[in-house]
Amino acid sequence: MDYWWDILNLVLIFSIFAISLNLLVGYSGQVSVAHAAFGAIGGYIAAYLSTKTGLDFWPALAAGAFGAGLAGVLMSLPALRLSPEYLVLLTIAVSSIVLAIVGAVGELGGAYGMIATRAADLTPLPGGELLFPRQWVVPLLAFTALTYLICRRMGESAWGRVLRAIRDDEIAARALGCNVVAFKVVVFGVTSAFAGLAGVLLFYYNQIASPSVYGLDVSLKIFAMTIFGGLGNFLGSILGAAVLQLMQPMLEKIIQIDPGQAFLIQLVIYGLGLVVLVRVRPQGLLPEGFSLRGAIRSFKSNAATESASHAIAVAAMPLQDARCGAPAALPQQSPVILEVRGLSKRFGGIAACRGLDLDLQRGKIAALVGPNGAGKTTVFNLLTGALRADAGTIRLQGKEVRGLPPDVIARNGMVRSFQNVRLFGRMTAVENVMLGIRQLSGDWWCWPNGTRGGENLADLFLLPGVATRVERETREQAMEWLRLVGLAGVADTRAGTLSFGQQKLVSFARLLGTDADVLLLDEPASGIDSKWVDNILGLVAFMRDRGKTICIVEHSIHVVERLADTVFFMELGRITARGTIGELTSNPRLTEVYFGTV
Amino acid sequence: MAPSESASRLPDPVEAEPLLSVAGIDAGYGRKRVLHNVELAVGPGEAIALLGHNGAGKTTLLQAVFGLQPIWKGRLSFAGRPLGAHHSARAAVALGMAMIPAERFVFPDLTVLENLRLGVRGLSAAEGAQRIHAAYEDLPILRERAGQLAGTMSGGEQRMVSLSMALMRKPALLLLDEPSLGLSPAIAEQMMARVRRLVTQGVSVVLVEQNVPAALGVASRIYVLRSGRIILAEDAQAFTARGRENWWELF
Repeated sequence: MDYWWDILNLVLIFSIFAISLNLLVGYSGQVSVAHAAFGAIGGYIAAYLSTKTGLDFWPALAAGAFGAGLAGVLMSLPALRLSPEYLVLLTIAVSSIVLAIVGAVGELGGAYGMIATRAADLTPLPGGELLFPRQWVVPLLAFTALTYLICRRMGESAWGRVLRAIRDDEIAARALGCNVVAFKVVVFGVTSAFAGLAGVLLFYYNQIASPSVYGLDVSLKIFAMTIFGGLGNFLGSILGAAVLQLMQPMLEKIIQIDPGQAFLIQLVIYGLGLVVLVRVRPQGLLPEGFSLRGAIRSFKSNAATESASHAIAVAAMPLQDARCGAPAALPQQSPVILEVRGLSKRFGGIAACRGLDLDLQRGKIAALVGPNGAGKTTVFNLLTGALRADAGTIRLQGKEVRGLPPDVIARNGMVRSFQNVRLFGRMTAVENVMLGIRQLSGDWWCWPNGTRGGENLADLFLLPGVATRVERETREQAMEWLRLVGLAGVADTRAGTLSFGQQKLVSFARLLGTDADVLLLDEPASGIDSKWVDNILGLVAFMRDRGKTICIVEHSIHVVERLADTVFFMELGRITARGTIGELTSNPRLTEVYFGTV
Repeated sequence: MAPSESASRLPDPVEAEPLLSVAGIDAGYGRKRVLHNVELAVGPGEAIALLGHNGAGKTTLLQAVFGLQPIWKGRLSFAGRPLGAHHSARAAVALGMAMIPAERFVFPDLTVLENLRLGVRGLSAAEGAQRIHAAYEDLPILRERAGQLAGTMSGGEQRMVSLSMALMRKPALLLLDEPSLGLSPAIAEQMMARVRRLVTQGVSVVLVEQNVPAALGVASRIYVLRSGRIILAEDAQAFTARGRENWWELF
């Protein structure tokens, strides 16, 4: 009987590995094949402390998890800007380094590893020393449950929503004010700490920490468990751990194959299984967003939801919706909100922007117009911090923002839309809008993202009431904005499956949700069927009437004519004329610049 | 330059059966419909220009005609043969079309000669050699630089290589996407002069061009696109006669 208890215990320990890896890979999109190596860091710290200094189980466990978490934070620093394929290489390298170090240092037992001198002792909790597999079941169940609850709390909250946004489109997440760096560092730290915890448990359970226990093949096995179970679904990770961990014993005991052969057959089945799964069910056994309750509900009312979720709202937009606030009363001479002076940027030998001056006024729409290659989109990239300007000043409500990272500039009240929309495709329309809405706060514990509610880990775990309330309010506000653009009917539809026109409207709802003062709109009407253009232009005018400060880059002179109060004519990286569109188009020189000469 | 294979036919765009006819096509990428009910025709030996602001759908239209984008709706026929919704660029080339994209129009890591050889793929070795020789006669710089990597040439030279490549199979229709993009005015004018000469030799041309006067120097008719629809189709002379100050409202 101990045999099966032993298998169950290993399933539980590997569930901890797989669940935490899922938070890293499935939610934040950071691929890691070094998870077992972080387990090694935890396991060896605990092994060293308990054998050399006689430390008890609990402090050794804490030290191991903390040490692995710290190592995870360190690894996140070089990982910040890496694409997935390089991240795989980096994590393979980290895994090799960790294994090489523990295998080479004599103090740590070299290739043979360190043998435990003491069993795990749960004192002061009941249970005492854990000597037999049977005794381990309840504590391991508790550890797995704890891991599941914490990871789920993080993943399925406003905090996890930011993670998924980073996974879907890091640039867009940053442009909405999400501190991508902080989120990545924290998620690497937390998930590595859980790997460390599992590593410590593995050490105490096996009573040995050796390089082979935490080898690269083990990391790959954990990775396979996570993929197999389903990315973005923690229950799936437990299922994946169970299936892969049980395969060999099942073959040995139930089908009566001798252990050596069972191992080989397991590899074959395992390989075939992965191939079939990738073909048939690429999202894994339990896909993202799957829950038992949801499955039962959707089974019951399949037909009803089907038609509702595909309903497309093209109703005229209720632009005067009172709940979204009345237009701000404007003074005669609107103040300058954004003042740009001498903005310059060179790419190698090419000056994309040279000494550009720009003033944007509250409640006005300005447009940047000019021939192709004049540098209009570059200006947006410089203003929002996506590109670093070489010289000049960008004063937003009197505050210098040049040189600040994009997310900080966004939180200071200047956000942009993208020509190609950049919605978070695997998230629903309402989640997209919710990502724009955040409760900014100056409280010190809200560092670094400056938000209250579930997006703040302190609130998420210490003030769950605040997190719940903020989440509810955020959803209500997001629904208001969706209603405003006429898309409340597709709130729960994945953004990637909406039509381009609908995606554009959702992106505007998301932008409005940020409550930023300055809105930079990159080609607001491009790529839109003409029947949607009126809606979009009405929406931009609505933003202006709410007292927003707006600048558009638009190639269609027609659209500019209908929207812009002031037009800046841009050529070769500088503004050469400003006025109404009528003034500029009646200027023969500008006409020549725009259309070219023979 | 050797005359086009279609040049034996009388180039009379008004009377003759159109070489290319585009009847009410819709096309786009993914979920984004870019072209709406586009109608246009190009006669044998005729040059037309597609004008319009960025994002109006000019490049997408070229790609749809050349078989690089599936056509969602409508009909396309070339040289009297209907082309399916999923016709391929391979079929387009076989039927006598050639296209030069706005960017990446040569293979920068291949030599000039290797680029030209790609242009004669499918022809017999003797035929290929003969055509490359003809291209050398036409543009001696190609022979001088035959061994040079195309990517190390100047922008204007690369454009010339791309044009020679496109002409290797003697196309009846040439689709040109912004051939003067990134060129200095003098080089751009040389490029346009070559295109004009091709037209007089009987090659039909669909030209996408930002420089409107330059386009009017080549094309006899223009189409203006806005948001994926054709909002104006008229003679180049009539368009010129509108006066530049009146072009704004079309963009």
